[in-house]
Amino acid sequence: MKIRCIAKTGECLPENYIDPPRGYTRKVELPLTIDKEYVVYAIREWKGTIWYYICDDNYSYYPIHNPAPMFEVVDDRVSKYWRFELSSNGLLMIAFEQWLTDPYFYDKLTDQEEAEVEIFDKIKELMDAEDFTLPPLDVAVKKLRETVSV
Amino acid sequence: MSQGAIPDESPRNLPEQLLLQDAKAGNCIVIHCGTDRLLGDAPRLIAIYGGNPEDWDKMTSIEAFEINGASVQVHWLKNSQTLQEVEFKFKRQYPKTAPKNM
Repeated sequence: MKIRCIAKTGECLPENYIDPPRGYTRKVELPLTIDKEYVVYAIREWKGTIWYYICDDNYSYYPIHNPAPMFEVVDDRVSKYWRFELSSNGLLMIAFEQWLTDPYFYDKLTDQEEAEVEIFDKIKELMDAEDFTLPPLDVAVKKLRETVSV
Repeated sequence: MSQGAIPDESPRNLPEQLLLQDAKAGNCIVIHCGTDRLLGDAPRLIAIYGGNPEDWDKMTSIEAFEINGASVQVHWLKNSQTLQEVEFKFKRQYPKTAPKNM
């Protein structure tokens, strides 16, 4: 999945994204480039707000969440590495397996722990190079039926 | 893992000092919200500073400076209810070295 940045300041954000104690004010300016495309490594939904984890212009070793209204989706095909999780507190996460199976994965990744940094390095390499090409529907079904009938 | 308070890390040079000042002045955003996933350090933070587990967030400076070959950011912990900010530290990420040809 790829997104294109259409805004980088808090001025564009709907009211429910504004959260001054956490830095999201109308004046905040995020390290993004207008019109630049970014690969999405995970998605978080929390109380009606959607956040994309991307490697922003300050990327050094971890992806960081960015408000969805700052982007438009330019490639809506989803990664085969993604898993889905709906927590009892209402948090919805779509992320790769290691992120969801270890509740402290992202905490450790942002703390620069070597194992988690290495995992994200590998996942990033795979997701950046992911091939989304699918054969036409008729060709795919024909191939499946040939396999099943054998 | 440390069970006590972790003192703020001191900047090593002027650019780090400026980065820290900029972050403390409010040029920062949350990277991990305790309300949706607890920090691993939450029990320690509560024992030392108080609050509830979900109150503690991890913050980062929005700016990242290139200093002596490393990309440097400031991270710290913040109580979203009391706005107390503690345990500032510098995250220095050096470029990976290419594997050597044997």
